[in-house]
Amino acid sequence: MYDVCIIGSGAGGAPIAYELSRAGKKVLVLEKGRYYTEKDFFKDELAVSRRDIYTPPLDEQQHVIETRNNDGEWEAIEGRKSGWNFWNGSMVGGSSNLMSGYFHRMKPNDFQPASVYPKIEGANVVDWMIEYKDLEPYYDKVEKVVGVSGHVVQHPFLEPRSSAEYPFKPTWEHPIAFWFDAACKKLGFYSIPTARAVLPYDALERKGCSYSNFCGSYGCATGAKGNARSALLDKALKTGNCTILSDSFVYKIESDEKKATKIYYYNEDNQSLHVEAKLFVVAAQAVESSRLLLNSKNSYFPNGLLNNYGQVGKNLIFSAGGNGEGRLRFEDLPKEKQDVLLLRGAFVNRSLQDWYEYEQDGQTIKGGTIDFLFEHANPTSRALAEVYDNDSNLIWGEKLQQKIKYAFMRSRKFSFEVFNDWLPTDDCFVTIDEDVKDKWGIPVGKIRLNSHKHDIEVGKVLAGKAVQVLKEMGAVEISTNISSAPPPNLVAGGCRFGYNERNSVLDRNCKAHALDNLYVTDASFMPTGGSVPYTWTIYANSFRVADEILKRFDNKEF
Amino acid sequence: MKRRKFIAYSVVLFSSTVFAKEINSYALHVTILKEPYQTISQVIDDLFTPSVGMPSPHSLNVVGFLKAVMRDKRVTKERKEFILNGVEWLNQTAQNHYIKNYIVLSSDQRQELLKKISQKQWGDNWLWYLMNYTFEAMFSDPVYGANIDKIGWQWLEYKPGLPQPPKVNRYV
Repeated sequence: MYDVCIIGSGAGGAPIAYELSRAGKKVLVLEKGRYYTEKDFFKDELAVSRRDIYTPPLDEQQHVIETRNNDGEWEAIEGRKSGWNFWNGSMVGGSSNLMSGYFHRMKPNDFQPASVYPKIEGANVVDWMIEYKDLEPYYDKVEKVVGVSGHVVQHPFLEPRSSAEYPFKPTWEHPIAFWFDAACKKLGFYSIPTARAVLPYDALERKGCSYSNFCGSYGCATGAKGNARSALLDKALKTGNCTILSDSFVYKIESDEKKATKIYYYNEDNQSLHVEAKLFVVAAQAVESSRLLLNSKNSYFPNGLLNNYGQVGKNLIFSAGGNGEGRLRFEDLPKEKQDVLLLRGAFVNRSLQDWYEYEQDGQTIKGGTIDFLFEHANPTSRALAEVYDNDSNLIWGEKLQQKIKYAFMRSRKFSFEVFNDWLPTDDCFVTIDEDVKDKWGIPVGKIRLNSHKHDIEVGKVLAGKAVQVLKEMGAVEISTNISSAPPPNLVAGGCRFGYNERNSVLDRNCKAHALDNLYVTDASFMPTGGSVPYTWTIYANSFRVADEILKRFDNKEF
Repeated sequence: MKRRKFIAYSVVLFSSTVFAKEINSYALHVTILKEPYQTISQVIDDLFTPSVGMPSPHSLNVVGFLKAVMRDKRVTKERKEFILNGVEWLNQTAQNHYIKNYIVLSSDQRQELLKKISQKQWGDNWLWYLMNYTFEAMFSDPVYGANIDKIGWQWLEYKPGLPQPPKVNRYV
């Protein structure tokens, strides 16, 4: 029997495996996806970005997605038919392999949103059960163990830090970062160097960044990116106490009234096997963690495991916001700037958080973060972006070829991404669809999507600020896209932590209220998301939970 | 797809010649075209008549690539059917206007017809998909059998990310 069985190997599961295996516990990690390492990662646009090889084919595994139709009624459609893909990074290390690695901590006020900010009608905002000071030591730990590079500068929303600086200097920065700094200075904005989970040089038994110009969506061929496998699981394996089984899909957790007893999974040969452990950790990403629990019905939990009060799957959240871009043209730039604009490989590494909170109509509004970057290097998507003229007519022939050539060789698009809170509501949740099954015959997750109109209002305010910077930098053809479209790679909620099982699923330490040895440590526990990408917080919280679990082992509670 | 990925992975591990045929068969060079690819090829030529140094769709092996797309399990059946059905709808439109199929129209008539269908929802979508796959052929790594000798990248002085995929690590 294993001491710990972890379902999912990403940012939520890997810190538990790392800490417990180093403490001498026998750990098993089950991962649905394939076991890729650095030698399997290539900058292959067709495979990675056009064919999505790191997510399951939708005719084998899918979700059913519910959205409102034009009459305001909920309408469900299978992902296989719509092409809407809610998978993200199905492989050892999970989606952390594919992240861009923008690492931001949440702010102290993010942990008490219900107390600090005005109530918003229709939003299920609650305070967290922990405060920033509880998580700060673990944010700090992630910087050192996973590897975060950056540079601390003072700004009004800088969160308290126990280490004065990041342990690793920033990655090589593109000269445009300094143009950005100058524009912000003129506008009176605080230009912040963005911390990144990317090692600038060899460290932590990993190779440094190769500056290949392909981070987001791609696996890292050097191991510089702080993904859960290269940063944590590889080291867990070296202890001899950790076993990782890839191509292993967990479909059911068995329990009695007080404890989870075993899990069932399909291996690569579609054989159904089971495993027993003293303790179980679910970290399969928010949608799939809820789905697994809801599919694990038994006589004690007839509506799904931990779901006797109908809380599993509720209050699903994404990151709200959107993006925008502007074009920097050679003809608007002096010769020396033209020469450096096309420089490849370096990072932009700049953010704005001046409006993490802002005043509006006498109230303090929760705002968010804006990250700046170049448009993605993928050439196919860049060429496709040129196929319409200003009147939205499809163009071809010489006109299109001139436009593409200009876009690639005589200009460059500078972009931004807005991250603000996706308010939790009663109409955004996960259930299961008993009528639609995956290739193993297991009911698929059904995702109802709803965003609060406030999310878009905030996103637009932030996008407006980003546009000011782009204009100041001399960009033209500026466009913004703030929408209620949910980004599948920025999903959380579904198993909130809270004070009792009538309104939450997990306790303060992410242990199930209803079972003594079952934890959920991916982003499912988060009642709100803060206005930053989630990965750093998932890592930090998982390290925190690992400490709590170890205390229980020390006290011989398992 | 899982199985095909497993095959590619196994090649790395065992260097088995059993899989060599499998991994050499993405975009083949196409010499004789039958319908509907004859019409598709003509439309792509009409959309991408080379100018400003762009290599021709033939030298990029766009049609060979598109035929591979039709075998690709990662591309949905609906998408494949739409690409092929578009030829039929194009010819219906050509017949309505000129009482001839697209392929036998004059160059000016073909351009006029492309303008007409691009104003319709299906036509806009269909042409967009043809452009999509043309760009994929133009910019994909040469191990897939298009973008021969990297001529698509050279046209725009594009530098691919490293490492590039060796043949044995193609996804299919």
